[in-house]
Amino acid sequence: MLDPLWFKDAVFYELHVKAFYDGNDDGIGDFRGLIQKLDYLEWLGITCLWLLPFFPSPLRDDGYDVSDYRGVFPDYGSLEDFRTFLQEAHRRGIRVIADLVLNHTSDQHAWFQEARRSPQSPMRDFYVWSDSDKKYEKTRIIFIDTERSNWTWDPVAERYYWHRFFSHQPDLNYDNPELRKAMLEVMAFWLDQGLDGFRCDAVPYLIEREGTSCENLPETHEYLKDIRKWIDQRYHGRILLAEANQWPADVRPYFGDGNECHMAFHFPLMPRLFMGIRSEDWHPIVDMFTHTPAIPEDCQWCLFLRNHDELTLEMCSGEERDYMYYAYARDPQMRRNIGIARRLAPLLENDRRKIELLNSLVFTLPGSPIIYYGDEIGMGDNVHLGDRNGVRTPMQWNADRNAGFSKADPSKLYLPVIFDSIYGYHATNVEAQVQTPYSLAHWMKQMISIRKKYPAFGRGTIEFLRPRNDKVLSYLRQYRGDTLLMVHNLSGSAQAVELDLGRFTEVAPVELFGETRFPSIGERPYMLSLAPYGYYWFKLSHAPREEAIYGIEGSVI
Amino acid sequence: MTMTKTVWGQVREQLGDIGKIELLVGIPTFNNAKTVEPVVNAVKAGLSKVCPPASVVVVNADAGSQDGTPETIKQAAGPDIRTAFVQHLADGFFPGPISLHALSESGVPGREHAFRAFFTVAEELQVQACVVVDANLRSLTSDWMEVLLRPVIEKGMDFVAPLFRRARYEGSLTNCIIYPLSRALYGKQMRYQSGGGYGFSGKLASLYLTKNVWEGEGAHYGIDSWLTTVAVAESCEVSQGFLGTKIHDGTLTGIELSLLLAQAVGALFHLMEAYQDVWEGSTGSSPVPQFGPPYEPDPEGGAVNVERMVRGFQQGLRDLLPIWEIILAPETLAGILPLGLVEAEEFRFPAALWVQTIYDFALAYHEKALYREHLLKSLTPLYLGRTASLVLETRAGTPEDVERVIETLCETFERMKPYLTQRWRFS
Repeated sequence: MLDPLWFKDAVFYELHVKAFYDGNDDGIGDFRGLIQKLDYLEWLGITCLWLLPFFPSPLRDDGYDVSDYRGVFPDYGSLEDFRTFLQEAHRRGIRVIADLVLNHTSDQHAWFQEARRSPQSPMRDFYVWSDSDKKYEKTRIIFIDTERSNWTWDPVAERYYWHRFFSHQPDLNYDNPELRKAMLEVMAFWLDQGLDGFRCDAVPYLIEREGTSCENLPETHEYLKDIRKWIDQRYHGRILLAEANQWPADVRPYFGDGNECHMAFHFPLMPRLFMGIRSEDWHPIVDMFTHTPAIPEDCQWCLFLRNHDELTLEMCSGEERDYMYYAYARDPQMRRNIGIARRLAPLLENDRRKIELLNSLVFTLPGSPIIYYGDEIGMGDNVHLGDRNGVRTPMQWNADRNAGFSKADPSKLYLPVIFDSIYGYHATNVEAQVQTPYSLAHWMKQMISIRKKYPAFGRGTIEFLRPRNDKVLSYLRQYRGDTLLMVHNLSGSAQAVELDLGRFTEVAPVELFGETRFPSIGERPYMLSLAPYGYYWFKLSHAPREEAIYGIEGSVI
Repeated sequence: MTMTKTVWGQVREQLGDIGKIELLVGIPTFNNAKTVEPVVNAVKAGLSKVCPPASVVVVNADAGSQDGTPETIKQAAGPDIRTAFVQHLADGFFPGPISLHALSESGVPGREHAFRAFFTVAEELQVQACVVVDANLRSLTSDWMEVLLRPVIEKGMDFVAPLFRRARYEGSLTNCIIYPLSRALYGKQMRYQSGGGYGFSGKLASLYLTKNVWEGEGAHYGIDSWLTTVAVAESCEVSQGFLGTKIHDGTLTGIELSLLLAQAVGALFHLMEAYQDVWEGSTGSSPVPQFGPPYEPDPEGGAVNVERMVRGFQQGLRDLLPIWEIILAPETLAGILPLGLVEAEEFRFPAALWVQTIYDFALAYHEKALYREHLLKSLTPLYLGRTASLVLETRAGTPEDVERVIETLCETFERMKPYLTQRWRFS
């Protein structure tokens, strides 16, 4: 029987079909290409894929402007291709979730086209209309770079329509029971294909109420609970992952009592990880967890370093934002909306030690980690491509033309490949890294494999140790008798730290990457020294006192 | 060299002016006050049957006992037997365990230092024979002295290795790897049981001191792992002595299986490099002399969890496959992969496949294909698989059936030895 809590142990991998591999040489990635690269993902060890929107769309917001919820964007293949892909992924033990854009459609969606043309249409009430652009004035504008209002005048309907994102993305009206029913049918369509769940886009904004911020309203939670109940009654082991870029206390209700979303992104943690390593101080990271409420046992946080959007600084104070811009985006071209549109490796100046350290944190703090495609080989970005396209360039497979991504004429690629001297595909590509045993990709593979061995990473409690050395972040993860000790040096210089591990006296820590037994813990504080940006993953093992498990241990010689 | 001089100086001071000493009895100890008195009494009684007390010296090398072990020995030995004491950890000239994974069969820390001290004193006194017994034994009788010493004194043997009456599946690592591999390499049918008690000629004691096993990579492996191999490889006169059942305080339970395996097999592989010219040309094998009253195999088998062993093998296949791909020849791996899908009851690890596996590991060790400790530890699940197969094959049979399977395995190791030698030469 499938473990319904599989997502707690999962290692996610986020990718865009168009960016991964071109199977028909037209310059755009597709499902047939993706199928060919599943072996690589299996080799890497990831267990769940998160696909960015692949539905028909005018692509004015990279697919988040859906024009048909039940189809596949023709450039990416057919519905049959999708089914084959899903089958092949499942055959390799890889689950698949996909983006579900609940909040809005494209203005090209048939629903909107019909709604704007006829007040009598049943679709009219699928969207939020107003005679005035003064309603819901307490609501913030999210895309401040491009939008001046959340209302846009539609000359066909001769009314304003509500949109929280781009003006070509009208918000759906979840006060309408018919729309709610229609969206459930959309979900059923994909779940029936075998999809393992949805990453629910922009969930805080589903409902509008006057006098409020129109975010995180109780009615939104009621609807999400309805969705969850409906799915649980019909399917087994499918998940909902909430995208709610909010403070943890505001995200907490999205888990309900274990009856709403299974997972939610921990947005504010991500910039604090970058702050922690830059300021060489564990306080920003630990403080964020101090302010993170407990969640139901059958729920999980989703942790990430980078994704397809900008490194969002919405959940940062003005001072913190200034610090992040100063530290990571002095060039204004790197800034997008309220954030920084750069990939992981360039953000960390391609310092392998820092890349490993931050990944180590994301893989060992409470939650399930997500890898953004290409970050496992240290891919770079191109800040000159506009919007967030700079971090959405083709996957770099080898040193051939178009980075081995496509055989098409380079001018036909959906975006140019990265070709600078540091991150360009000649220097950074999958083929070279798979062939090099000590490459970043191999290290990621090893880290994933170790994480998968110990359920405590995905399911265990966390307890932060408070050593005197502010530069060393250390914590315990515990689950069913297993105790793991994580120690991270956030600084660029060697550090020594004394840890209070008195309760583990006589236990011998075993370092998990090398399976090396360290000296036993004694009565005095346990001293460790760490290289610059060094880290240890220890299992605190009572092995010497364990009983024989095979019955032969006492007399093998 | 400084260390050996210090030991001898210490002992000479304690012994004063003495006449010719013929025998040395070494007792390595660490907190053995509870068991050491009967051991010393049995040694005394046994020695009286072999030679006069005046020509014997008992040397105790203690690793820093806190329970008065040396004092107990002194008291038990009484005035008739000369005694000398070496306090190696307390005096600080032994730096403690050489490495974390230098384990000893008896659990005494720094055991190799104790043996080195015994051999040093034996050489300085030019003794004819030397015997070393463990202090934690509860089954040592006066007969042991005769079995371990007479072959040296009267039959010209250089080495008497212990041979115990063991329960059915005891010594599985020895029976699966150490014994058959050593037998195929060096051509001597020594069972390679270790610990408890050994007999050495004075000549062999001196020879051990000259070998490069006390420092460097060889020192990583516990002394019990290489004493027998060195004696056999150096073409000494080797034999085995029946010592009955071995009962002792403290077992190795709890120490990681992979650590024990890495040490025992690592010692063997390490010495293969040193003695390549010896084993390369050797074919077949011959029995060695045996002394003492022989015994029937113990029909009793302990509670062996064979299903867990199979699971351990299959888990290893999942986790260690990338490592095994580096170590094993493609045809060996192709033979192993299907075993991952077999149910526990049906599980069988064929002898020929096992032999090829061990030879592949020896070759990979030689070629330094991987960090050697990792390489050795990655053998553990395969060993579990082979042991599970042995148990499944014989658990309904008699003890003789188990012996027959072990003998067949040894013959397979010998028959397939060209697989090893041909590849070793060109690696």
